[in-house]
Amino acid sequence: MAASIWERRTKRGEQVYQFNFAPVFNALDMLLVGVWFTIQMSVAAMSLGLVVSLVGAAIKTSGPRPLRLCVDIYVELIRNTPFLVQIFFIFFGLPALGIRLSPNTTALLALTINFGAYGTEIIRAGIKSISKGQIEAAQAIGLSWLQVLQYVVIKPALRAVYPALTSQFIFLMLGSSVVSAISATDLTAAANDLNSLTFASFEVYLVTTVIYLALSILFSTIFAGIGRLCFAYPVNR
Amino acid sequence: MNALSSANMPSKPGSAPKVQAPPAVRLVGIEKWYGAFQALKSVDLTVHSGERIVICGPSGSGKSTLIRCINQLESIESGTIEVNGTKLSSSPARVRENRREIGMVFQQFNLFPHMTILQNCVLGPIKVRGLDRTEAEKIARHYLDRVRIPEQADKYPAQLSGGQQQRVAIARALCLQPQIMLFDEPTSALDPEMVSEVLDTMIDLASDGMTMICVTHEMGFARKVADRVIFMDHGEIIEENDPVGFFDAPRHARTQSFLGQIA
Ligand SMILES: Nc1ncnc2c1ncn2[C@@H]1O[C@H](COP(=O)(O)OP(=O)(O)OP(=O)(O)O)[C@@H](O)[C@H]1O
Ligand SMILES: [Mg+2]
Repeated sequence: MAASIWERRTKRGEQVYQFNFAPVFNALDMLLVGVWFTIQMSVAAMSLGLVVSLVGAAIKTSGPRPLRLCVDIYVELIRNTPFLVQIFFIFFGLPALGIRLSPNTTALLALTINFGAYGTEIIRAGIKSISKGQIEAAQAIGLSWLQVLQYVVIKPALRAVYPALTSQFIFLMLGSSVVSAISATDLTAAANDLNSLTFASFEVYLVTTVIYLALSILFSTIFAGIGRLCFAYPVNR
Repeated sequence: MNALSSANMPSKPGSAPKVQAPPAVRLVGIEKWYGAFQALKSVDLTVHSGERIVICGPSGSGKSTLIRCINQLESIESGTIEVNGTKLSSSPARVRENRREIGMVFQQFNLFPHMTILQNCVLGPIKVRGLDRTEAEKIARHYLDRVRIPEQADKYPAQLSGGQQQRVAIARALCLQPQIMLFDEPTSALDPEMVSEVLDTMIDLASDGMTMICVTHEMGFARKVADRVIFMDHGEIIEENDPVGFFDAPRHARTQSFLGQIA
């Protein structure tokens, strides 16, 4: 069986690789399990990361100084260190403090923390783009600080940075392949498993690449739809 | 109980204010600094309930700063401000309470772009006054009717002309049923042909007995509506008088030259 995959023909002394996708497609369910996990993990990390980003951006914009400093440190720490090291730190480092997390939990946590840092900066830029007049008009009505953010600032702010936010979401989904390094059960990990079973590296990773591409297009399409639904109001100029 | 009947005293524009305690607004010795720059210098001003005040003066004289102190969009370094007899406090809850009683209309309209006209109008009543949506919409439609744009309720601000947007901004402020209205150059950002529709709305409001403090250079409006005109320069009140006296016999040289410039 393995021979058929590794069948080589010698033609004028060259070795020619014989493509054979059959074993990959036969084991497609293995990949699909990974796909499903990658989707679930990405959506969960996006949602949680968005919450972290909103809170972080709100604090950075108008929170008390000590909290603002904490958020600054968090954002700079995450944005200036490799994602893989962040994962390793959580997975291999934290057990020294008695915090032991499963690979999948670690993956979700690391992705959330990582996205939260970038998202905080993106949303902060969005909030900054809201004119002082908007905020003053909201205050003049008698809204509290939190109400001003919630009802007047957030939506136009998100609209202003929605393209940046969605590409960060796509980055997160693609970047989630890194979690295979700690044997989380994502698509890339599934591909690695399949590769070591079949040795059809080219076929396995080609199919995996196509699946990631399809996922990107799928997410982009969904985000575009969400954007059209949520930010449908017309604006001047 | 009736949310639509505001506590107004009917009086005609130009008639003398009915003096009654406490005054709607009382400013005593207001000093305002932006860093090393003094924007308000010991300003005293008392505005009685139902009175219509027009504030004018050259750019940078502190007109906006002054009225923004009344609804606490600006803090002051010294002096006291009383609104309806209550001394203002800087605690967030008290600030919100104060703002609830004061409507403000800005030069740039500042409607919320992501909300329809109706949503703009009900936000305050629902979130600040705690009304339910039906009640809030009833009030909103009443005031949209008053500013003569009931048919635009479901449009977004960007779909309205400047004059219409400013009238919505007036309606939005009125929806909180404030006792005092502040206007900061409400017609300055408008195309000339839209100025009168906004001024007409303000005149209509004045004839209802609303206490109004208007920063404006619309002298026709001032003559018609104001009980008193106040002239500011360099952070000080230089002169105040009834409109006839103010325009026809200005006492101060600076007032005279200012009126000469805008005439
Ligand atoms: N946030 C601020 N920081 C520093 N200086 C300020 C600030 N706001 C206003 N000023 C200054 O305070 C002075 C008074 O400003 P204010 O806006 O009250 O003037 P104004 O009479 O309303 O003028 P305009 O007719 O141009 O609106 C101006 O010299 C202005 O430069
Ligand atoms: Mg001004």
